[in-house]
Amino acid sequence: MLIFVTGGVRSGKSAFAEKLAVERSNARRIHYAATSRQTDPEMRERIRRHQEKRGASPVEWVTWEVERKICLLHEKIEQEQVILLDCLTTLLNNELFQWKDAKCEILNIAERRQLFYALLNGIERLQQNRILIVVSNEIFHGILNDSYASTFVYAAMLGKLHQRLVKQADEAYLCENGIPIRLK
Amino acid sequence: MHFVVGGAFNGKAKWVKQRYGQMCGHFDWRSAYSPSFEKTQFEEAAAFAPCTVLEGIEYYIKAKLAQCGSADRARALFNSQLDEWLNWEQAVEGRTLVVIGNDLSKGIVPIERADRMWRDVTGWCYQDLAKRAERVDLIWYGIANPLK
Repeated sequence: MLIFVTGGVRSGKSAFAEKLAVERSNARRIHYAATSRQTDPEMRERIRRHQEKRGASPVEWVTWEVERKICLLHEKIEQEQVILLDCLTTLLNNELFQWKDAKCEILNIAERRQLFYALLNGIERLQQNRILIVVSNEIFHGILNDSYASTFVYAAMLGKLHQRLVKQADEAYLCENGIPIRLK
Repeated sequence: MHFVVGGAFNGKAKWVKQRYGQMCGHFDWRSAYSPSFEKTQFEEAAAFAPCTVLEGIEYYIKAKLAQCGSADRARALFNSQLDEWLNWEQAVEGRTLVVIGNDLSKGIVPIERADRMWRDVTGWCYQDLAKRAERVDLIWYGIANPLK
């Protein structure tokens, strides 16, 4: 089962997704697929904030660090479990942009196509016989400046992923100011 | 007139193709994203097929803005064009015009003044479009939410 949750920054999408996970878990432990790299103090602070909230939760959380290679996670988690993947935007970012010799490079077209299907495939396998909640971001409502080609490519890829996931999802939600709107 | 709006890469064009492919069979697809786009392609209503789609209306609005340089003037010009489109549609039974626009309204304030103006005018023109359209749909990843 696949549940898709999206929203703007600080829209309460993670909190809502965590609540959903607890509700669907039947008091069993929940698997948390964390995608952020602890690279700087700001990111550590964001991660700490989320960890604290999960620490206060009535159920046990198991954290899996998946900065990349979501396609391998299904081998590690038993069936019938609840998994919260937070978030797809970071996962895509970690995969799409690679550091080479202190320079950030974007994958080429062939690699991007491969990545697109690897991500979809990974999510598809993970949701089979489990409850998978995928959190992602709304980044599609501003001027997309053509001069930043990599941002354009990133947005195009994320938008197409969202379309596929919403099509496949059993439930899809948009969070606005802490209020989830069920759109599917 | 049918106004279809939503964020970029949300599947608006795909949704329109599916809906009007079934309803009309053939449609005339005119896109402002085409590298050879000229704004006259959106203005020559006499050459439109009975079912015509104008995609990327925000770029048509941008071109109008470049033509006159003033936000109010661009909006007025856009509204004159709206009159022409509605006249074309109403002149013959069975004509349909579909206008697709990207929502530009919820990002960070653009650094360039020209982009800020473009974003403002686009927002005003969308309000005019929504007011005068018979039907308005907001597309969210392929799912249509009718607003009107």
